[in-house]
Amino acid sequence: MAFPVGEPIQVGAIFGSKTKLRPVWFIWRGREYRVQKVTYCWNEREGKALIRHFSVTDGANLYDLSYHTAEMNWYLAQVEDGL
Amino acid sequence: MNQSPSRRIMHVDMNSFFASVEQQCNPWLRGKPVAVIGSNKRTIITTASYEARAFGVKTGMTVPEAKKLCPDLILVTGDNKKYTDTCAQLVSLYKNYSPAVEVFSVDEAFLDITGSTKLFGGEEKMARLLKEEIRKKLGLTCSIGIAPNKLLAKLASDRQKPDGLVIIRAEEVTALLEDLPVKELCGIGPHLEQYLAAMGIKTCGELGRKDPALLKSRFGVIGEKLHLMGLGMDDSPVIPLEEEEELKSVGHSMTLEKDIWNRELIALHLLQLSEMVGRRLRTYGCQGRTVALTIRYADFTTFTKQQTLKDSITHTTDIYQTALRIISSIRLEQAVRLLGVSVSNLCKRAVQLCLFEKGKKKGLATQAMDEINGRYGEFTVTWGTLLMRYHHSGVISPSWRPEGR
Repeated sequence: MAFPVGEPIQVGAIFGSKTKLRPVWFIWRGREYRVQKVTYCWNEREGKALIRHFSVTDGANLYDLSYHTAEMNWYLAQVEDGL
Repeated sequence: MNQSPSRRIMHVDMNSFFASVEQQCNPWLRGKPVAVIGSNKRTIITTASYEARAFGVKTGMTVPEAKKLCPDLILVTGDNKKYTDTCAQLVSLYKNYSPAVEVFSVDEAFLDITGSTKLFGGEEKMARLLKEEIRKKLGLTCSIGIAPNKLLAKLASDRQKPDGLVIIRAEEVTALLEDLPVKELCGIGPHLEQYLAAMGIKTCGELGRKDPALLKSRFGVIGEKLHLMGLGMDDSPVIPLEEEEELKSVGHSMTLEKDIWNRELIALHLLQLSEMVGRRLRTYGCQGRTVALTIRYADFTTFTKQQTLKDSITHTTDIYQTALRIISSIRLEQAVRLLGVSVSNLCKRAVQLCLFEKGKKKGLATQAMDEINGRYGEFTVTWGTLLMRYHHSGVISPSWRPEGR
C-alpha cells in the first residue's frame, strides 16, 4: 500500500560522474534511513522544472525520493510498505 | 509493390511494460501476480505481469473479474510519468542502433536497421546487444522481431514472449504465412477475422491467394492492402518522430470515479477535459472546427457525437460551450462511466486580432494562464470551479510521443 507524503527531507547524496546522482541516506521526521538500493529512477517535468525521482529501499520499505532541480530541494513523495 | 529484398526492420515490444516497470521499482513485487490499474479505482486492468497472466488476467478486464481469477493479485496504481519517461529513455537507447526510430506506442517501436546491422556484426548480435543494454540499464525485458517489413517484424516479436528474439528472413515468409491464422497479423481484429472467415479465408496463405479485386469489392480500399498482408508484403516506411504527419486531432477522456447522471457534475468534467484539450491545441499552435464528445455508459456502451463549427476554435471556453451543446442534445439512457472530448479538423493557428474588448481580454487571459501553467505545471492556474476536482486523466494519449530528454 502506497502512502503519499510530500514532505521536505534532508538527503545525503553522491554526485558521481557515471552514476550521476545517487541518494545514500535521508532524514525524515528526525529519523535517519540508509538507502540500501536505488531500484529505479525517472524524470518528471512540472512546467519548466525538472524533478528527478528515485525509488529507494532501506530493506524494509520503499520510498519515492524526489529531487527538484530548480530549487535544489529533496522531498519524500511517497512511502510504500514492503510486502 | 516496391519492396526492397534487403530491407530489415526491427520491432521492439516491451514485455508487460507498466507492470515490469513497477516490479523494477518495487523489488517486493517481483515474481508476484501484479496488475496495473488507473489512478481511479474503477478503471480496468491496464497491464498484467506474466505471473498474473498465468492465472488468465488480461488487459481490459475489470478489477473484480481479475480478482476472481487471481485472488492474490496485487493492484498497483499506474504512474504515467514513470512510463513515459522510461519510454523516452528507451528511445534514446534505440537511437544508438539506428537513426530511424518510429515510436509505435509507449511500449513498442520500429527501427529501420537496414543500414546499421553491419556495424554490430549482424542483426542477431545487434538485437542481443540491445536487449542486454535495456536489461542492464532499466532491468526490463523485451521481445524483438526482425523481418523485411513492419508487418512481419511485429508478427515476429509477437511469436516469442517474454524476452524473445525471432528473425524472419525473406525466403521464409511464404512458408511461414501459409497456415498462419489471419488474426495473427497486426490490423486484423475479431470483426475483420469474422468477415474473412465468411469468405472462406482463415489463413494468411488463403488471404494471399484470394483475388484482390474480390477483396476490394468487399472491403473497399483496404481490400488491396489485405491481399498484400496475406502475402506478407508491407512497404510502409519507419517514420521517425521528426517526420511524423501533422496532428489530426487532440483529445482526452477520463473514467469517472463513479457512474453519474447529474448534468452539473458532467459539465464540471467537460470543463476539465476541455481545458486539457485546449491547452494541448494551443501548445501545438493548432485550432480546430469539429468538437466530438464521447460517452460511455455504465454497461460500457460507447458512442461519440460531434459538432462542426463555422470557425476554428482553440479557447477552452469555446470547446466547453460546444461540448455542453452536444450533451444537452443527448437524452442520457444510463449513468455515465466515461467522458471524452476531442477537437479535429485542425489547422495551424492563425493570429487573428480581435475587434472586441471582451474577445481581446479572453485571448490575453488564456495566454497568461498558458504561460503560468507552462512554467509551473498544468492546472497551476485554472477555473475556480475546477479547483477542488482536478486530477489527471490517467491515460497516456495514443498521440503521446517522447520529447528530448
